[in-house]
Amino acid sequence: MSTAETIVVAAHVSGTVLEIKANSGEALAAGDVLMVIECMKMHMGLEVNAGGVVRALLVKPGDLVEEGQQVALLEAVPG
Amino acid sequence: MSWRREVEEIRRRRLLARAHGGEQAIERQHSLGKLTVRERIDALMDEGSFQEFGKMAGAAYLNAQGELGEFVPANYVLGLGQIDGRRVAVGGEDFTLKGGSPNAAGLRKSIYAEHLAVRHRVPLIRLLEGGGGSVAGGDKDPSRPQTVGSPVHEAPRFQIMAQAMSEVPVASAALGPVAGFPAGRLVASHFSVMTKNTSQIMIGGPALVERALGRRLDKEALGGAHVHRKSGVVDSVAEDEQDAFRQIRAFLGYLPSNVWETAIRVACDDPGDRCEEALLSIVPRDLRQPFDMCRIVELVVDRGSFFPLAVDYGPSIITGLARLNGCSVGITANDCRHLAGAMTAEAAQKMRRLIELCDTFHLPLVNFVDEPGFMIGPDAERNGTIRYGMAAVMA
Repeated sequence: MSTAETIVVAAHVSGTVLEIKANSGEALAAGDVLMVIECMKMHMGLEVNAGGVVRALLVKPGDLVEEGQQVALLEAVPG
Repeated sequence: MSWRREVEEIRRRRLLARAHGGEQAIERQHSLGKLTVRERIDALMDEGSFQEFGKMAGAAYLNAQGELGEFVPANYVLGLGQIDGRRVAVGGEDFTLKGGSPNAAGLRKSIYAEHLAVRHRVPLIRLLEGGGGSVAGGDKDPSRPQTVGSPVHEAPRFQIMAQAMSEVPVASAALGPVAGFPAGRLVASHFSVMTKNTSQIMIGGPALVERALGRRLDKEALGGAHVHRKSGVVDSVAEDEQDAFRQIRAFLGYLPSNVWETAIRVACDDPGDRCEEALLSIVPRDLRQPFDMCRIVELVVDRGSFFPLAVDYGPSIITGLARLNGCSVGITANDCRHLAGAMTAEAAQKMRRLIELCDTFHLPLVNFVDEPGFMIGPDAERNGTIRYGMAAVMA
């Protein structure tokens, strides 16, 4: 039995989580926007680098995040 | 009685100089994916245009008959040649001899290269690979450093670099390990580039760092491309040596040969009144949505002419060179995808460098403004943003 690979998604900027665009269990493709973080008044979409199913959202709207902070875990879809 | 013997010696010295550090050393250089200094010069310059200066300089050892026995050439090769039909001066260390750490003739020639460019009022290109003078003890007296030539602090060695920077375009490439004085030379340039996998830039190498700080780091960890693409030490990272040469040729194409001339206006088949439809929709009406400023720059300037500089250093401000209707211009622009385009300490230093380059070589400056101001916050205060920011504003 193989264990699916976990993809860690980290914040690309420091700021406030404005909106989460995907729910737990939802599948995302590489380049899809997972959440929007407000930084310096700009709404910066956090795109996932690799596709996968959202397994855990570690932040919620209104949370302050630091650049590099883990914000979600995805489960890689076996290719 | 003739001068045949002396002429023969000159011929032999020239021949021996071409042998570099020997077949094994050349083979090792090639096996590491690097060219020898003469191969580099040939690859950089217009074919057949290189005229070498001081090929027979070096240390000659005579045998009992007073004839040339051994000859160790200067480990710096220099001369004049052409790039795209324009005259340039070029020089570089021979890494196959003493790992590029200067021997006496090599040091003298490396300084002469700067004089050559200044005297002929032509761009200077340095192809760097080597360490500075050794501070280790010599064979005769281990307590005294075995440095060569005049003391490093003597004025002419630095003065000529400063003069070159203020009179002719200077472009430098790090093509292998570059440490000590050569690392200083690398940054004393208007354009510096390093190869991605084969070069490292360090003030002091791993042994020195371990001795002084007790930290064990290899060359790559200390000064590899992953460090310097973000440190601001280089303006660009090249895929390989050929790419570095291509970038140097491109960079020089935007500049005049010296400060007494103006940049050449190149033939341009891009209509001056070209107006791109895409420009109508790149900037979102929602002011909080980021957009791609680089794309705007590329659409406005002559097609394919944008030459970005230091992309990963201070990325909130874009700098580079480009052409408008065939004329060279400097470009600065705010990139709102990074800290809303705010001027960080790093971005300010990058911007100032570009402005000074344009000032030196009389290039107009085109500014794509989306400026929120200086970066704020504890990091910005710690980084001295207000000082560097104001210096950029007043440049």
